Formats: sequence, C-alpha cells, structure tokens
Amino acid sequence: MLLKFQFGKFSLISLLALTTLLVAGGQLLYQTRLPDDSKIEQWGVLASVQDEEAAQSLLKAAKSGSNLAARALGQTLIHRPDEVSVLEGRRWLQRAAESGDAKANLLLGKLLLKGAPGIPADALAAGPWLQASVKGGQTGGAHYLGLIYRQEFPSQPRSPEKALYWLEMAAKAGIADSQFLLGQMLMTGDGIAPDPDRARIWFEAAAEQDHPEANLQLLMAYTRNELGLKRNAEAEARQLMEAQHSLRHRPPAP
Amino acid sequence: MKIRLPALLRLSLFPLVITGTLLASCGSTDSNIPVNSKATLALLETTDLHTNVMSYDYFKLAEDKSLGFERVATLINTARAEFSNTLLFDNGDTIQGTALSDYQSLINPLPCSQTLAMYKVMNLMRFDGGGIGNHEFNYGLPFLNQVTGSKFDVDGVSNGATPCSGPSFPQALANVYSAKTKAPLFSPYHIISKNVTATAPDGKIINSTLKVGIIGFTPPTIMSWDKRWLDGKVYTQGLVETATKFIPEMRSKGADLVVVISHGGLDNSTYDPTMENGNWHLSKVPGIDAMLIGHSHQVFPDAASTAAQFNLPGVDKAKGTVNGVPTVMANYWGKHLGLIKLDLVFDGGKWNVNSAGTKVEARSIQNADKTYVAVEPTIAPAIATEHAATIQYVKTPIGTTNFNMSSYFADLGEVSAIEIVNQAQADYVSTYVAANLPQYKSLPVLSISAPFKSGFAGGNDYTDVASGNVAINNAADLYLYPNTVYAVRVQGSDIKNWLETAAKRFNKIDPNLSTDQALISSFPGYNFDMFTTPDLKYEIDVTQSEGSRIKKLTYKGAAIDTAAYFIVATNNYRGSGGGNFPGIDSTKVIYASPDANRDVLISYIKNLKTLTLAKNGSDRSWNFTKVTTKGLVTFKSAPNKLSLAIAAGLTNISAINNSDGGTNNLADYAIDLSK
Repeated sequence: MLLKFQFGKFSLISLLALTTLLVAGGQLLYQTRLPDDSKIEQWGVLASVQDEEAAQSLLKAAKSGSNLAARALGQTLIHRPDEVSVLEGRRWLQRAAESGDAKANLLLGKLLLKGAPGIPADALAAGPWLQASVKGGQTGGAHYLGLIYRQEFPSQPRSPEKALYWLEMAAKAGIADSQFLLGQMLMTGDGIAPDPDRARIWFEAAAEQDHPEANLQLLMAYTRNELGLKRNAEAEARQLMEAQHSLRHRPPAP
Repeated sequence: MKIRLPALLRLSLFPLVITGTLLASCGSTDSNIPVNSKATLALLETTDLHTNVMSYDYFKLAEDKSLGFERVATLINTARAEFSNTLLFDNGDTIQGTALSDYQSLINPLPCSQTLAMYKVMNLMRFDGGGIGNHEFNYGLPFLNQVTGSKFDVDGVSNGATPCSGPSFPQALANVYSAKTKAPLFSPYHIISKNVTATAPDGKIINSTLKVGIIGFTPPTIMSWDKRWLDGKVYTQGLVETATKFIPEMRSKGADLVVVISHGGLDNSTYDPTMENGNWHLSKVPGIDAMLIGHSHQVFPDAASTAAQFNLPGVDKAKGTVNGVPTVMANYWGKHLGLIKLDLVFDGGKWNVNSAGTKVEARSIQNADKTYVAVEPTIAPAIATEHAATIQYVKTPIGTTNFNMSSYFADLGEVSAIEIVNQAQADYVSTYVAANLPQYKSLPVLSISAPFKSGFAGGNDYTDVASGNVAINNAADLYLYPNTVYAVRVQGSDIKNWLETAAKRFNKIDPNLSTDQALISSFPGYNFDMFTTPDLKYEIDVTQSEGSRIKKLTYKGAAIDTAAYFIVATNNYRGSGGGNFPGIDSTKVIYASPDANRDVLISYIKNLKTLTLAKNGSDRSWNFTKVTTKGLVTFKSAPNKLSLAIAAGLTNISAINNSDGGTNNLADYAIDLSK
C-alpha cells in the first residue's frame, strides 16, 4: 500500500534538485493543467482511506507543482505507520511549507513537536514552522507555540509570559484547547496574577465547544464555589452531563 | 418458523402494497387538486435522545421526570392531535448514552432477531424517518449495522442473508461513505409519500399526496472521535458539497419539500468540509425548506438564548430561522419536542411553502408550573424487560472487598480508596503499551490519582465503600468524575514537579508556633495527585515553601534519575493541562484512551473478584517528613472516623471533637508530625 519510492544515499539532494526542477517546470509548463482544488481535496480524503489511485493522483499533481497536493500527500503519508512513508510525507510537507503554504507549516510544526516513527519529537525545531504558520493565518500554530513555552527545555527556560501571549491569540481565534489552557494559567496565576473571572470566561467559551475538561472544570468550580460560581444543583447536573457527554466528541485539536 | 416467516412477511407487505397503490392513485389525482388548495404540515423533531427511554436515572436508580422519551411521546401525541398532517423525525444520537444502551450493546449484546429498546419505542410511536448522529458510531460499525437493520458493505462488517431487526422507519445519511465501495453507508436520502388532508379554495376537505424528501448529515469529525472504529473503513464528505449534489436529485425525483436532518449545530467560521457544525453554511444551499438540527444539546428557537451559535448573523433565535431557513433544535434526552409548522399552497403542479405561515417552536416536557407532562403509558411496558435487566446489571456485584474503602484520611496518606484506582489505571495502560506502543514497552508504568471526594462540601463528601460486595454504582463513589484514562510519558524531573504541585494541598507549617495550624490549604483535593506503589517513595515536608517540599524521591530504592523516562497513567483532565501542572499537557500524552477511568476500574475489579487490604488498599508511596511542632497541626474530616485511621496504620492522628461547631457534619482532628 505504500507509495513506492526508493531513495538512495543521494536521495535528499536528488529529490530537492528534482523537486526544484519539477516545481519550476511544472509551474511553467503545467500550470494550466493542474487539477482544481476540490479534486485535490477529494483525493486527499480518499488517500487517507488507503485509496492508492487517489494517492498516485496526488503524487502526480504534487510533482507537477501543486502545493495543495504536496500538502495533502504529506498529510496522508505522515499518518502511515512506517518510517519510510512518514519521512517521505515530511519531505512533501516541507516543500509545501517552504513554498508558503500555511497549513503545511502547521502540519510540519505539529509533526516535529509530537514526533512520529522516524522523527523524534523536537519542540524547538518545530517552533519556526509554527511561527510561519501563524504568519500565514493558521492560528492553530499559536496554540502549539503556547504549549512549547509552557515547557522547560535544557536550552530554553519555561516562559509563562510567552505562553500566555500565544495561547491568548489562539484562544481568541476560538481554539478550545487554548481557551482551556489559558483558563488554567489565569486560574492558577501562572505568569500573571490569578484572575478567576477571566479564567471562567475562557472555560465557558471552551465548554460551549464541548471541551470535556472545561466542562469538568466548571463542574468542579460550581461544587467548590470557585471562579465566581456558587453551588447550584441544576447547573452542576448540567455540567456533569456535559463533561461526561463531551468526552465522546471533543473539539478536534488544531 | 419456516411456515410462519412467509406468513408474517405477507402480512406485513400486504398493507404496504395497498398503501402504495392508494398513494399512486392519490398522486395521479393530484392534477385534480384545485389551485390554491391549502394544507398545514407539522414537522416534529426529537434529537439526542441517547436511549433515555424512561424518565429514569440508572446511576441514581431513581425516577427523573425531567427527561425521557416516555414524556416527549406525550408531546408527540398532543401535536398529532393539534395538526392534521404531521411527520415525525429523529435527528440522531439515539442509541448510546445510558446504562440501558451499554447493557444492550456491551453487557448482553442484542441478538439479530431483536430490536433495540430505543428503536422499539420509536417504532411504536410511528416515526417517519431518522438521521444518524455521531454517537451512533460509538459501539462500532458492526453493531450499528446490526441494530439499524442495514447491510453495510464495509471491511470488518459481515452480513447475514437478511438484515437484522431495526427501526421500521427509513434512516438517511448522505455524508459518510464506505472506503471499500465509495458508496454512501446509508441511503443518503429518502422521499416519503405523505398522504395529507388539505382544504380546497371552496372549503372542501380533500386528500393529496405530498412528497417529502429527507436528507441526513452527521458531523465529519466522527473520523477523529471514533477513529478506532472508523479509520480506513469509512470517510466523510462536507455538508455543503453533499447537499449541493443530492438536493437537485431529490427535487428531480419529485420531492415537493426538502427537509434536512443534520446532526450538528451552527458555526459561521470559514467553511471547511470537515467542520463539526456545518449547518449555518448548509442552510445557504438552495432548495432547503426546513432544517432539523441537534448535537449541541440546546433549544432553538429561544429568544433568550445566550449560546454563541444562536447569536450569529443570519440567525433569528426568536423566529427559528437560519439564513431564512426554518430550523429547530429540540434540546436532548427527550426534554423537548421540536416543531416546524409549514403552510402549504398547491400551485397546480406541486405543493409550495407559504413562508408567512411558518412557525417554529421547541416544546418542553416541563409545564409552566414546573411540573412535567404525564408519560405516554404504552412506552414503559414495551421495554419493561430491558429496563429491569439494566437495573439488575447496575446492581450486580462486580466483586468483593475485605476492607472499607474510604477517603476520610486520604489527605494524610491513607490509600484505601486510591490504590485500587491507581492499580486499575496502571494495569490498563501497561496492557495497552505492551500491545500497541512497542517503542515504549521498556518504560516503567506508574499511576497517579487524587481523592476527588475530600470533604469540601462537608462530612458526606467522602468516598466510603463498606467492606463486602462492590456493585457498579459503588464505582462512581470510588471514581467520581467522568474522566478517561490518559498515559503521559514524562521524565523523573517532571514527576518531581508534578508532586511539588500536588503538595500545595498543604499549608506551610511553622514548627515553632505554639498555636494551632491548619494543615490543609485551599488547593483543591482533586489536584492532590498521589502514587500508591512500593516502587516509588517520597516524603512531603510541610515546613518548606511550595516547590521545595518533595524529599527523598526514590524509584526502586535509588534516588530518581531526573532524566529517566516513565509512563504515568492518569486522566484526560491532567493530561490536557488541567490543574496547570508544569510540563504536563497534551505534548506528553502518548495514549489518550477512549475508556473511562471508572469503566477501567469496574473491569479491573471484575477481573480481580476479591479485593484485599494487603494487596489493594495499603501501599503508601509517601509520608510526611517527621517534624516536632510546638502547637497542634489540625485538619477536618467526618466525625467518629478515628478507628478507620488507626486501622490503616495512621497512629499519629487524634480526634479533637465530634463536631467542629459548623453545620457541615465535620469534626476537628490533629496529626502529630513527629511520629
């Protein structure tokens, strides 16, 4: 089921050269022949359910210079279980990312942050790609930058202030996971004076998006008279129901 | 049986054939319907029923009148009496959500020949059609295939010669496709021939046939929510693309009306084919006469709604329209019935909606005086057996314990209610890692949890499971919150930081103060995580400042290697950054399991059968660092529980009184930290 690509010792160089040639050539010669976006998106969907024909179509379009296809192909390949596919997927993502595709930047940043078969997790290497994704309008990148600054690394101390900056940007863009984490930092006073009212507002925003942990936090706040909330049997019953129910459909991570 | 089956078939098919013929003749006489004849059609919606058939709470084993299909059925009857023409549809999230649904799917799986309790009563109420929600996929595709009487052509699903028993009404789902065949999993749409009574311009009552097309959608995000069942087997398509493709097809096949049954809410952010709540965009696809929506557990229309999704541009929360399309959402668990009344006018060729007459409402089962409508009396008897079996299942002992499992002294290090939870989590995660995460199989698996019930609300707010039988409803006492098991991969330094944060549970104690000092701070008990294993040991020195209290942290007898990696079994709250423990968040999660900690605990106890104090309730990982204090170090717990502390070996605790003077059923105790 894998795309059959054998890369020898000169693979990276030859691939880059080939890619550059193909991109340039593709853009000059085949620009008008590239399939339309909706078709590429559909191939992406089908390739993700192991439709080899769709994967080959993506490959052809990617080779012809389509960044959308390069991203879709990369996205499919990095979710496969074997190293060869993942590494190849990373190369396609990187090509799309370097060509300015913000979603590809985000996917690549996430891949490096979390790691995958053949790719050790490396939060600091992920940073620049995530920054580029945010510049390109993908606020999901801000969420992951927030996560990185919450962490302590041997070469980079923890920076709650920077984490707050990025998480707030992502929270304002509506990302529930960021709203929850921002709420946690405001609730406990991490890098900022504790602000239970603002924390509650972010927890409520996340809870409205069926964020299970935000619903649980509000439930616990009601039962403990925290965050400006007071014991209230009806509200607690509703929060308990929502916390339980939303576990089965959390807002997807950015 | 061989003789009976065809007879039954004939019996059931005969009326269908007759109806079909009658409808066909009605259809052919439609050209005789006078122009400007008028009819009223009420579309009725239930949504997110979640198998709440009875007004009953299986956790509390008690009636709950505020919910239940048996009450919303009464509203259905009322609406049917009120409007001459009605169509009853369900929006989905129907077959999952209570102990009854777990019982029929997981505990005592329904045989092919039987109909799910939920569908049984919906058949009884003569539903005209239904959609498919995201929760329909929770028990996997083979189960969904069986109980809906479908014939999925999907990898991993096997089909008998004839479909299993299922709903007697058509189900539509247009945006989920089989990876194997590229065909929709369910029929994407149905066109229902509805015999309606109408009024001719001269006032005469006439009959006509209305063709109502229903098309169903589910959130494309099912692909991540039920990844374990769906990955590689099915794929989704966007709502807008799918509707744009099928609605003209439905019209060309004669649909007078198109009703969308879309499980999802409203979201006006940039359209994406994978968005969860795509109905705001869907409403803009031409040709939709009405939308029945759900999933968000909200009421729409509701002029007072503060929900962000009902305060978007184009949404009229008082009238119940989305970009002009009449839309209803009927809350959840049978609390409301959605109703869209459409006035129809015959133009000589077909029936059209006169939008001036449209009225949308969500009717509550709660009356204005706070009482609830009566139950529809035929519902309970129809599922009496299933209901009784579920109650029996909830009450059935899952094991026995030779010790009292309580949290009265958990803050002081007593583990009788904690260790069993940690053991169950560790066992579950170890098994998963061994089978699925070979890259981590050499790492030690530790497990951590907190006493969720630690007296905040008074003396009754403690876990207390008596020795003897342990039943499923006791598991909620041992594990209060609806969490799922998460596994994080952390280093020794993270564990130290984790415990330092947990140790904020205590005030800083000054040994030289001769006055009483309260030991427990305002730091929440649900964040007081602790290990309970002989492998990991530590002391908490409460005379030190926050961040410097964890002492002598050892793993297997040696000081913990701060760079070494460990897997820690915990819950989704902590794994998602809840409590703001430094470094603990989604970047550390190696397994976000779909299984509830409580369910993991239940199956662990079921496997062990017998819990003993020695094996499951006495392994402490931590002690307070010994210090002599001039004054008393005090804390509160429920009164008259000292004997439990002593039995658990906490001989340094003494009771000060039997009531702290308050009204919360709490008493004062002291702990001698020098012992």
